[in-house]
Amino acid sequence: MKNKTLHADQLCFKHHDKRSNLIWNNFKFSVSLGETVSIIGSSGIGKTTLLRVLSGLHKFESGNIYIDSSENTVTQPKSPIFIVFQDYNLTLLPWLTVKENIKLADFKSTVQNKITILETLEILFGNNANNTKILEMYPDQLSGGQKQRIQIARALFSNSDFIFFDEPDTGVDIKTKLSLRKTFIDLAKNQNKGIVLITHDLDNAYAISDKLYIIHESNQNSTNRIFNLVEVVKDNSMQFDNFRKMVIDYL
Amino acid sequence: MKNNVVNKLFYSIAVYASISMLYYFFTLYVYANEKDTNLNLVDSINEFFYISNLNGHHTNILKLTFSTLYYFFVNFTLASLLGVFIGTALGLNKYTGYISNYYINFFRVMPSIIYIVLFKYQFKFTDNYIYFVGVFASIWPIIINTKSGVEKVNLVQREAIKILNLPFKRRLLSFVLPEAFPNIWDGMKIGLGISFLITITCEYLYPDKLGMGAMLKNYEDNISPLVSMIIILWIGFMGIILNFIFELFETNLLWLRKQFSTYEGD
Repeated sequence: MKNKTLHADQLCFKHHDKRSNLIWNNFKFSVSLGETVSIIGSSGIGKTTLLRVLSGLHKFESGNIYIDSSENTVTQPKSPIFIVFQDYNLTLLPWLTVKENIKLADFKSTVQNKITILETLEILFGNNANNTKILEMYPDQLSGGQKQRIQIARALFSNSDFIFFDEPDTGVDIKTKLSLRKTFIDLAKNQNKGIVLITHDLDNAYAISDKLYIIHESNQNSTNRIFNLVEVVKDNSMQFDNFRKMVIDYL
Repeated sequence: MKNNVVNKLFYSIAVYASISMLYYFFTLYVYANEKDTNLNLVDSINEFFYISNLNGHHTNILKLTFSTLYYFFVNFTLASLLGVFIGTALGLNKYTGYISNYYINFFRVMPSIIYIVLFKYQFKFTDNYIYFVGVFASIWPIIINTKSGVEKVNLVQREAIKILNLPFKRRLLSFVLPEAFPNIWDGMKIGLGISFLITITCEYLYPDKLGMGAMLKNYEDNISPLVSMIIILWIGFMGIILNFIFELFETNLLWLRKQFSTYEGD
């Protein structure tokens, strides 16, 4: 199995809103293949922006984001990073069938012996006779959980090494949430993907993550708000209650 | 869906028939005291179907209708193709989009009928004149709507597509144009009305050619109120049919968007 690591060193990026400058300062981040990492933080603290910066979609002020060596910097659309966006209704094109939607990821992949569309569905839905039917359906005919999986299927079909998820558990029922949890573990451990999740669900983050990052506000004055990133390596001896208390203290 | 279409057609024709009746009685009332005016409906209908005197020709209504519809279709098709092309090119770049707004708005606010006068000094009354004026008058709503449709594609969608690494042509055909298509369609609907109006008006003002507008002018000059009325109603009927054909497509916009999307090109 190949091994790659996505690194972000001394990362700094800014955003200006009406009231103050928002500064994300000196972030250090890493995720390897086969690893699941969660990013936690309050609403509006810049989790999605961080995800966009890490994937190469958003400009940053200073620092470096690279895969394995510092020369191999992350740029989109060439880098093997795929984002599964929160709003699947925007990213799945309603005028294309599921098959055509997944097939759009064909241009992203540079691998010779690539996975087939049907195989991606088998990974996500199991070896199910309905899979071929799903391929011919349109996104509007699918449930929220199924649409989320079709986005993941697209990521798998693109053969991207790292898959970023922006709040995948928002607006899905508990059964789907648990099933997605299994999917994330499977993607990391069996498909050898590097998984990065943005989530508000501490339970989910605790259950599946090898490592967690918490974005918190470290300093605030009249003109600047400064945010830092803290890494928490999961210690199996730590109880969930203690973990939750620690995260809440940070937030 | 079939029932809906049939119902729509039925109600359109019913409304149209009732308006025709009112118009007929109105014409009879207005011209009741005019002497030497033929108010016989059967004679007028006969005259309408077999025109005895139009620019010295004996012709029939179908020939005139096809002549007008031919000009209209050429105008509308050219305006649609050019409008979508220009609107997309302007909308893809935020700077050209911003600057072109001022120019487009200048032409857009001009009443389209002005172009008939504006270009008559540049062109003699030829086929090219009708095409030029027709396209120039009806292209603006198509350009504006296409441009705003292309511009409104939101950030998440742009980023999702960027990540997919689609080549420009595929990005345009699979995503940008289908996404902007409802806006483009609305622009085309406005363009359709303007194109039809301009074609009829051109024929009416310069009736050297055969066409429904020319025929209306001829019978108006000859004070044949009932024939003029039938011609006006016939033009209205053509408008209803064109609108109905457009609405037929509109009931399946998703299919139309898919046609863009799955077009593989050359």
